[in-house]
Amino acid sequence: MEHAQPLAAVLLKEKASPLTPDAIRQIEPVLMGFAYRAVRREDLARDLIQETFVAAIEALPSFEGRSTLRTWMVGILSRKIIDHYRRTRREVLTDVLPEPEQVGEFGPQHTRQPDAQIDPQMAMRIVDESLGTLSELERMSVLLCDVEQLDREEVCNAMNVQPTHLRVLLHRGRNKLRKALEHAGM
Amino acid sequence: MLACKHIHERLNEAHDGELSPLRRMLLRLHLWICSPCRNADCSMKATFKALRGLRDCPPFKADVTSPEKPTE
Repeated sequence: MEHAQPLAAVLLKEKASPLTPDAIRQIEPVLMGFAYRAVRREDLARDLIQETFVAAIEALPSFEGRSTLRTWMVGILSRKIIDHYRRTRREVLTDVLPEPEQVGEFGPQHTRQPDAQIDPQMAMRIVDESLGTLSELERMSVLLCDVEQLDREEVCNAMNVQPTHLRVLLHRGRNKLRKALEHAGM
Repeated sequence: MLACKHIHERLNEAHDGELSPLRRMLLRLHLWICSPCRNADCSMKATFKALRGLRDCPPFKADVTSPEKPTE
């Protein structure tokens, strides 16, 4: 990350921390992947990561090592992303009412053949691209809970939503991704 | 008995460990007898597996926006 690393390196001279240059090199692609999936723009993702490193360095005294560095920094990054959503698209952060699943009168309908093999790499590609079709909050909930596997309480705190709201967002987001896989015949 | 129209909600709850033992058993029974819901279960599991796989995988970028070069 050409933009963030010099800044982080300068600030790191001030404090001894778990954010060593090696740790930064390891964590940066992880954060970049997460941020890109959340905002779908590389330049914006880089800006958010830069802000995340600055915030992380400022908050280092509060890092107690109870979670991994990755979990801690993903938490900070997710707050930055939510702040970005708030600044740019206020309307998406209003409460979302549950949307009934349209499964038809008799339940699920599938184009997938029962014994069809699912190519894991193709499934990952479809799911990754389909994340872009989710609302911002649905996407964040899926990224934090199902990709990063953070616990619900942490996710609720990071997203500033109630557990019931998170549940709705998660179910809705997952079902959209599942439909994308089914639509692709998987 | 579990109705097919509730299957996706139940599969989500099962994944999140929110089902009581009784509901979990009813879900298993239903999946045993209902082929479309079994397929839904397969799709849901494939979705979760793909999502877990993304954790350590760089994004598949369909349309990458390059960072703007600074103007001097």
